[in-house]
Amino acid sequence: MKRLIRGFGLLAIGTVISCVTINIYFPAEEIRGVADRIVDEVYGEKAKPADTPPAQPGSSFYRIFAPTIAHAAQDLNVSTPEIRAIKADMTARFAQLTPFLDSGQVGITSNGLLEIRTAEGLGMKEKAELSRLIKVENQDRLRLYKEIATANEFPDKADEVQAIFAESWREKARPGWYLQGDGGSWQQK
Amino acid sequence: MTRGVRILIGLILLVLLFAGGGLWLAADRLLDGVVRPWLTARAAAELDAEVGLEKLAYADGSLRLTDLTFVRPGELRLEVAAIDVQFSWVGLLQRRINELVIREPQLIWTAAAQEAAAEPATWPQDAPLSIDAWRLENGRVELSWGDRKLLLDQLAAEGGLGRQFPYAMTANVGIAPAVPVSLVGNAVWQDGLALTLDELSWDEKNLLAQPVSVTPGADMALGTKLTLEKLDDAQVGELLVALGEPVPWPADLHWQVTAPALELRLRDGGLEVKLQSGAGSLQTAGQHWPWQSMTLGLQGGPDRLELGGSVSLGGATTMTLNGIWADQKLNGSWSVAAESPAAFLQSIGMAMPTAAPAPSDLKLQGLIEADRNSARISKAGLVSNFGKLGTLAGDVRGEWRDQRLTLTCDRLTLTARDGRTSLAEAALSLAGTPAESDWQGDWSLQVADVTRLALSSGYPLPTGQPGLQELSLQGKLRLQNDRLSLPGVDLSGMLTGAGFSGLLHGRLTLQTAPGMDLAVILEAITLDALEYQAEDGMAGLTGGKLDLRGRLKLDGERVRFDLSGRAGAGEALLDSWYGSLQGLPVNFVVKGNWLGDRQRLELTSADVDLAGLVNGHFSAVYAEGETSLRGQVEVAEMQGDFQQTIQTLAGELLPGIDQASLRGQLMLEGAARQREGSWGLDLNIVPTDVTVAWGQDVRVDGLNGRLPVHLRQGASARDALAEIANLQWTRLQAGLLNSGPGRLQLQAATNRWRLQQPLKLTVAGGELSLTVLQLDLPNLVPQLWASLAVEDVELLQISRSLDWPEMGGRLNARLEEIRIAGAEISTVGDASMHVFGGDFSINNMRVEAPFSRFPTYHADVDFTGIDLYQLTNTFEFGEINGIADGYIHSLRLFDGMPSAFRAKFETRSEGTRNISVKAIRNLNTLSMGGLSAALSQGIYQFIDFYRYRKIGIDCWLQNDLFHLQGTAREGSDQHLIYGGLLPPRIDVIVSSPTISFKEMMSRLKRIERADN
Repeated sequence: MKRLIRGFGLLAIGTVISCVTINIYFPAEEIRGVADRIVDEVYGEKAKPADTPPAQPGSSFYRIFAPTIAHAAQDLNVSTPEIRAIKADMTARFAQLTPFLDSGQVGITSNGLLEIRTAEGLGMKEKAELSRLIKVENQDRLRLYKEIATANEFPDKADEVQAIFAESWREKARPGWYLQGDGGSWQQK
Repeated sequence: MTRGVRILIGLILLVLLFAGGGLWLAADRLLDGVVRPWLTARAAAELDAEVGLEKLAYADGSLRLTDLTFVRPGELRLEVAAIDVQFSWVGLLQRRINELVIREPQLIWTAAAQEAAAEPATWPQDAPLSIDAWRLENGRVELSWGDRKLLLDQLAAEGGLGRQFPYAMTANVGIAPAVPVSLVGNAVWQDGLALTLDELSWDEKNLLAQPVSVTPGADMALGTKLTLEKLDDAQVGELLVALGEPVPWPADLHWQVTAPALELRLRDGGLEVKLQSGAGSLQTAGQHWPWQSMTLGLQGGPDRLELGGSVSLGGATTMTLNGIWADQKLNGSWSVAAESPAAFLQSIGMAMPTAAPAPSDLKLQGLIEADRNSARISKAGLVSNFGKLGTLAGDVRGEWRDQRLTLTCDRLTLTARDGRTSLAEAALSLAGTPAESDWQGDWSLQVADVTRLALSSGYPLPTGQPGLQELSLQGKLRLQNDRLSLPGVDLSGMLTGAGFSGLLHGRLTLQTAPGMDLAVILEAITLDALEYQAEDGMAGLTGGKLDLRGRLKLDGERVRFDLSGRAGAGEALLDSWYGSLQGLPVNFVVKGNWLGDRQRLELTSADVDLAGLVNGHFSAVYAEGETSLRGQVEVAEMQGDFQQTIQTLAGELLPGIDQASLRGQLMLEGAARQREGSWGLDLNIVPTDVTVAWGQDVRVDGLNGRLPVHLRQGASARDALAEIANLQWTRLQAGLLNSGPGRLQLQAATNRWRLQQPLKLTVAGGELSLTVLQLDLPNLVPQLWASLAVEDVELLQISRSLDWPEMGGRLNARLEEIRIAGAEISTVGDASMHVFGGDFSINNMRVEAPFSRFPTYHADVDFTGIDLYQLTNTFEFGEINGIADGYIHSLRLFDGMPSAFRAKFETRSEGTRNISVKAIRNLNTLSMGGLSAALSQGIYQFIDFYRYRKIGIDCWLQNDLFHLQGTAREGSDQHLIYGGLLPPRIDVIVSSPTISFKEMMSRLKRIERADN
């Protein structure tokens, strides 16, 4: 019996710690939703209605930690002037980037940035223009992550925002676009 | 024995018989009167010659023939002073003579030009008579055939005759100098004559290592071995002269052999000669050819002679020759096998070029066809291994005629060690006179891949560098007195690899001479259609062309170069930068050295001219772990073509650069060095009467002076340098800043510039004092500190220049620390303005990402005692009377709009406090809207001003939400305006405390529309 009580005790403590650590400081799921919406806007896809949040477990054990989860589920602010301006620029620029993504000359790296995969078929002037385009796009993406992190009061989590955005950029990439694997090799979606 | 000799012996015996009879009859008269005439007549008839005998006498058992002559005109003349024959009658019956003495015989014999084949001599099986002793005294023999003569003088001989007898002879051969010759031997005449020569002495040197056996007759056999300590051209020459033979080698050719051993065998009608010698040498025309041993064998007769021999030379080199001499021609084969060709060349005083790979062996074999005047070699196969480089193989043909040698190598192929890959193919045609050491010819060389050839030869080219393929060289060749010249070499090839491609063609000359390995004269080399593309395709060059002329001297490991040329390109790409380089050729003259053993490049002088716009002079050293560059670059005039070129080249990266204008002269001089991970740059930027302008707002005129730059990274960053820089200008304009002549004095130190004296400039009626300015480049990331003060700047000018509503008052600021580091400009200090009757204080000014496309500005603004009448009139908000205090903290401006702030605005409870309807409407627009209609109805339409007790606004913008609270009435957070005690009074209450930023912006726009 003592062993059973000790086991439940440890389980409870571990659960509390893990829930607090994950949910209080970084609302990953909410950022994922934000990332999906922004990526859809930039890609020119119609934003899908937000996924229905999963039904909350009804057990009393879950309700013990409900306040913590409720705090994490707050709405994220992704509509500051900075974010809107960056997003608008990215959306406008994407029309220029699409042909290069479609042709496979530009691919999406594992950290969600753009990279020239191959410059074949491009003249020198086009290469330079494409390079500048990609540099500006990547600067904007990094600034976007920073602004989202700042606006939502976790300014030191821009890297984690980027990691979540990277998944969205890649998951929502159109068929035929090239994605870079962790080993650096390119694969066509 | 010839027929004549046999007849002579028979006659002598007959004379002896008659003499015996005569003696027996004791009748001298009979001998001289009857026998002598009969004998002479008989001999003349038998020998077909004129025979004379002066006297024939017998006395005391001895018969003497005096003055015997034997003449065959034009052929033979024999004179003998006396012949004494001592015999006994019993001995005569036994065919035995006691003694025979021939005194002073003289023989002159001339061979006919075309002597009929003589009947083979037949020798009796046994001696026809025996002679106890014979001797020949003081004889002389003179033989002539053609132009040649052989003279034997003071000839003396002695011996016997019978079954076994000895013999000996001495004589002097030749004239001036005469060479003494002697021989001693034995003979056995039984069942045939067999002679044995025991001693043969020439010039008092014994030539025989063992006795010589000779069997005269139809099947004459000869076997002997001659051995000398040494034999040279002088000795043999003397022998040939003595024998009347011409010396067959040139007068300037000298040779010698040690321990020569000659074996002779004459059997079966043929001659077998075997010559062996020890070390020897051949010397001619300054060439010394030593050999270690030589073997030569001859077998056969005059009509067909088989020969074979070999010579061992230095470097374990063996030369062989085998053939048949017939019909005055030699047909045979020959070979040369050298285990170390380099050692062979060294043994003859030659050396292989040190820069060339040395063959490890050499094999050459072929056929030879020769006569007395010429020789030809054909089908000669050459095979030579060059170690790691591979194997050189090919065919060689050649001809020797009239002292002139012609060699042709049609196809020489250098094959890699794998035996399949062809590295190079060459052809060579060479003709010359060895005696004069003068050769001329044509040659060609094709190399499929120079990089592969260099790798195979053990001289790998630096990796990551372009290589040459399909390289073709062809031209003339001249080798004269150790000077090799390859003039007029036509060159073509393809530059390829490491992203490069291009066509190489041109003409050059190669020369080599003692003391200098190789000189290459580039008459005209062109690298055309030059293109480069980096591996990722994001750097490149197209339409490139390089013309090169000059001279290279390869001296051991040193290459000296003196080159000039012109380079140009069509387009260039470097990541985001693209430029058209048409019309921008670079002319250059470079001189220097390449030290191969130290991998060190010394550029002693380089003059560069970029399209007449930029001139530079440089010197540099490049070595592993150490690089240095010193030089000077000058732009004589920046206005015009230079400015246009800069704008064209940089236009893609700096879109606004077309607003820039440049004028004046600019010079950069300095030095840079890099060593083991550290580097340094010392540079002087010297403008002369320079004007730099950017649009209409920024302009510097008459810029002169010198700006030193001292940059260090790594270990050398500790170098302490400090000097004063001075920059003067005649006019400086930047927005409101408009200054006349000025001077900037900086202390330039390592990675740092620091202001030496405060800089004061006139700005909008006030003064800007820059008291501290320091720029640090610790890791090439600029960090700037500054401290400035602004005094009495007229806000009117500022507001006009910014197209704001005109504001009076003055601006003062004291920013004690302005810091630019990373992606932020931060300040410590504040700016103050006395405007609208109150004071504004701005501090915590900060710019985030100042150089990005989205800079954001931060500041805290506090204000006190603001006269709302002045304020509202200035901004046409609607008149308000009152005095207000407040602040705007954490203000963040993005793209000219606030994106965050916390603001508080409250009026003081003193003085006149009323507010116009326009102002109420505007405030209401911000708070809730919908009030306009109420104020336009009823009695309210006649009221222009309402009294208020307090206006209190607490608002903040955060996360795109604008929050508004009213603090005008104590205990309420809804009263923006708390009306006065007396009418007309009005309260304005916040109905929607939180609105979106978008809604706030639309309300602000409504205010603007209302104003209009």
